[in-house]
Amino acid sequence: MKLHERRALESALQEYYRAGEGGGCAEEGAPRAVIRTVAEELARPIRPRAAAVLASQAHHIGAATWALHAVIVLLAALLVLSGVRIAPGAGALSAALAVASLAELTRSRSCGMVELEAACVVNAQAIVCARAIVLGCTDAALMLLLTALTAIGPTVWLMVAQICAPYLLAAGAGLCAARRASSADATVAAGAAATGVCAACVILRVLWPAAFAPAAGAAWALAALLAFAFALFEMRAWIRAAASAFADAPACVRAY
Amino acid sequence: MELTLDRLTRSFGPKIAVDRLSAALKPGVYGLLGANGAGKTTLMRMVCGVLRPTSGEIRYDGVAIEQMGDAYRARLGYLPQDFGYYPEFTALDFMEYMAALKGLGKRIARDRSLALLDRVGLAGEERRRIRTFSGGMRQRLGIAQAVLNDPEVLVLDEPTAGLDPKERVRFRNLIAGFAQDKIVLLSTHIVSDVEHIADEVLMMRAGAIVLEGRPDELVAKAAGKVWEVVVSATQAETAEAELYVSNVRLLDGARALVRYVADGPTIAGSTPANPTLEDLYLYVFRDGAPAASRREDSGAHFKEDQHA
Repeated sequence: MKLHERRALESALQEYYRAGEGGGCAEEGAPRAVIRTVAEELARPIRPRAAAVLASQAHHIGAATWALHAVIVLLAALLVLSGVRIAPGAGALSAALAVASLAELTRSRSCGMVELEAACVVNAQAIVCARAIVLGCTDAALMLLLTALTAIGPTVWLMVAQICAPYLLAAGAGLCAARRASSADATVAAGAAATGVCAACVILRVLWPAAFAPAAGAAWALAALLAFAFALFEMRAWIRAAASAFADAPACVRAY
Repeated sequence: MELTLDRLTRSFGPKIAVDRLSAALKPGVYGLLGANGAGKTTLMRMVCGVLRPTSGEIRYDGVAIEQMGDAYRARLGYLPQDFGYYPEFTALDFMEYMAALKGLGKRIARDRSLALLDRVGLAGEERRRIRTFSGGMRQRLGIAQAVLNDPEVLVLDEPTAGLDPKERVRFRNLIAGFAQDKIVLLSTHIVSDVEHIADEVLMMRAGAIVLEGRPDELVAKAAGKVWEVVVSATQAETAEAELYVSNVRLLDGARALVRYVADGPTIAGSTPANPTLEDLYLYVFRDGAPAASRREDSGAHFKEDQHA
């Protein structure tokens, strides 16, 4: 029960009993009926607090998602420990993080749960936001770690841009593809799009290593900004589509 | 407790899926009958707040459900036509996950989940993965999650589709058991489901309600529109092609009993037959028939003239 509803009920009850005190008793069963109604209302499920929603969604994130994240982190750690420079592949590693997170973010749709979730108190939009926050924070921490492992001195900001741009581009491309695909193919489409960005990073590094030189810092900063705007746009579109269980998804033919 | 549907319209591009539909639903079971593409699922999604109407409004006890938001969804139970599950979920995991989304506390969620799984005949299957369940078991799990929060409005979209007759009867009995003091909106194109449990039938066509009333009242209104005649097997084949035949039963030799719907007897020797709801459904949804005139009676309402 919301605070204003509780106050309105309290004042209505006060009015009722004041009217009863002047003589002229109300029906005998009325107080019991009021208590029963209030008890039923208090027993009604209420929306959990944001922290509880975050904790619940973090608990339900699939083991495969965390396993994928662990594999990427382990791979980076192994390479570092072996003395291999991972700076050239940092962009590809961050895009791979996006693949792992997209697999979870799009699962509601590909597993057919989104329509059930959309009709709940904690609805599909809240679920997407909660998972995006949990996974986004995890990925941000991992990308910070990657930056710490790869960048030295003045190249730190360049490395941040070279890690963030592929991640954000992969995330945006994955959500865009998933929203346009049919429900069952959403996760596959997201994974394919993000993997495409990952592959593009590798190819770019191989074919045009000069693009990763310090001189290209401004270009990378711009790329990171544009990728951020793209990812934000696609996340917003995904959240909006989740509210209607993707019934209005562009390429989706729905039976009505 | 009243759910008011006020001139609801929903379009997808140029296609109007629900067309200025109005209804006032009080506690009881409402059977929503209609062919594929009639707009049943779109209507149900709007009632659940999943889809926003293009125009019109849905009100619960006088308050728009959009305004109520969480408070309305806390009173709602929904079983979609096709619902999925996360592949790693067991039945109990699924129920507890849905309970968390419906705002139930952990202890209540577990107790209620186990009690409901028992009630729908899934006791002992709590730790089994849903992907190993049969269709009937999955539907029973679906209705169990729909009533987790003891909803006041229960929306079931084609809950018996794909079930064998025994499972359908079981499911109908479950729905009847859960339907006390609730507004239950049940969509189907299986007429016998509605016939057995619905207090009121709403027939939809082309996005609008064309007929509504109690099943017995509707069936009574179809009197004089159902005919039976014994013909040769060859004539029976011709009749199937030319008339709206609800049943052909082969008799001895080369004869057949043909049951058809029409405004009057079309084959010589036809006798009037007692109508069923299925006959009425066939009559209402026959293709290319002229619209019936509007009748305003205390019970059933024919509204076909809006959709001629």
